[in-house]
Amino acid sequence: MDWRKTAKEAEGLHTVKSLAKSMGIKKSTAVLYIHEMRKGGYVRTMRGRKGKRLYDISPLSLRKVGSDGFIEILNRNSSLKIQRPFKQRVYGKKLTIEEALVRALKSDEPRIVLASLGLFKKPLDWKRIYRLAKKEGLEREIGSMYELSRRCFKVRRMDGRIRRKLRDSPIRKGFIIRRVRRSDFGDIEEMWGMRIPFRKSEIEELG
Amino acid sequence: MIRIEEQNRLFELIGKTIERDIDALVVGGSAMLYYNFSKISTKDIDIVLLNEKDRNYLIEVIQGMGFKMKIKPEKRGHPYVLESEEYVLDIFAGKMFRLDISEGILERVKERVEYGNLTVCVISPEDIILSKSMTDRFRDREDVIEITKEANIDWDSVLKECKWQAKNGDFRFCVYLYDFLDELVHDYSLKIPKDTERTIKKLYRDFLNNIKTKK
Repeated sequence: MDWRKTAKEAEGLHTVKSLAKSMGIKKSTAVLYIHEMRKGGYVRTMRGRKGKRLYDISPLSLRKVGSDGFIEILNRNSSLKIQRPFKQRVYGKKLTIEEALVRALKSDEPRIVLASLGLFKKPLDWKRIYRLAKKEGLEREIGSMYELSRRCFKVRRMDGRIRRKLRDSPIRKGFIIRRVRRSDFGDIEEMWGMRIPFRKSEIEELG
Repeated sequence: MIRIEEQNRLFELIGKTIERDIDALVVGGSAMLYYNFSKISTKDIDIVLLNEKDRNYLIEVIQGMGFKMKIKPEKRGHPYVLESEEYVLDIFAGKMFRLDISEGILERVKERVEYGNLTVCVISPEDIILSKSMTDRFRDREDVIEITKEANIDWDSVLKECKWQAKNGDFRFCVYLYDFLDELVHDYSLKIPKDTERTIKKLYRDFLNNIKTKK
């Protein structure tokens, strides 16, 4: 049987029941079809409400080139998910959480920057973060984001020397996200010389 | 013939050599390699840079890597062809033959792969069809048949892009597309939804009527 052809006919999001109904087959046969189509790489399984299995069937998929991009890393590690119309891959190296964090800040997109706060919950290599932030001129941004995350959820303590180095950075851009400012964190703004673009309630949703 | 692994190696080498960030689109057969189509190799690598400045810089870098200039384009939309022992590279800027790189094409990009400083965007199967419809090569026709057999094509996107191209790019675009698809329907039994066929035929007739009225 040509399973690509079957996947083409059944393209879309299905449960076993809906697949059986749409193809006019028994539920047990639908399970077999899903099994065979998965072998060809035409099925991706997701979980719906109450853990119900959902099968995303498509005859067309992209070959895996390289490793996950920073959006995928954000989605894996943060409770706030980012949806993009395209996949992002990195060829020739594996992005670390630290690199994903710096790239997220560099993107200047509010939702991505907010999602990146969730990465501070993970064990981070502060030295590496400092090195990357210095390279991109984002020391104060990283420092103020760390401070912000500590206010709202449990975060590992940053090395004091790194924190001082970040705060003493001569580069002062003033804004984490260009021209966006909220007034909930005046003390952090004063300490780091950065405008905080989020409300407290927005950050607490991440916790 | 170039396979995806070899193409990746070349892009990685280019990405490591260039000193600033460059975005490029992979089109035609090279883009097909990123999908799970039956086609697993291509004769040449087609890339489209977004502007002339990036193209000139990239050509300079690639020549430094030992590639020889084979063909210089005479018209806008035609590629510089560079060759080495292993690879043939067609480099376009902003336009691929009659297909302008539109906002729509950039929005429909399915994957962005970073190779160091070079970011490669993989165009959608619908846009691969459009890019192949503007050539006269026999192999391109076979590729389009393969794409339509193996994937569900969003023909509405194809039509939308065709209208955009006719309005903002080459005004004869719908004629070329109609001829191309008509040939495939008759010679290769390509199946297109009736609505799409009707719409494209209408665009084609409108174009002809416009010309007659102008005369």
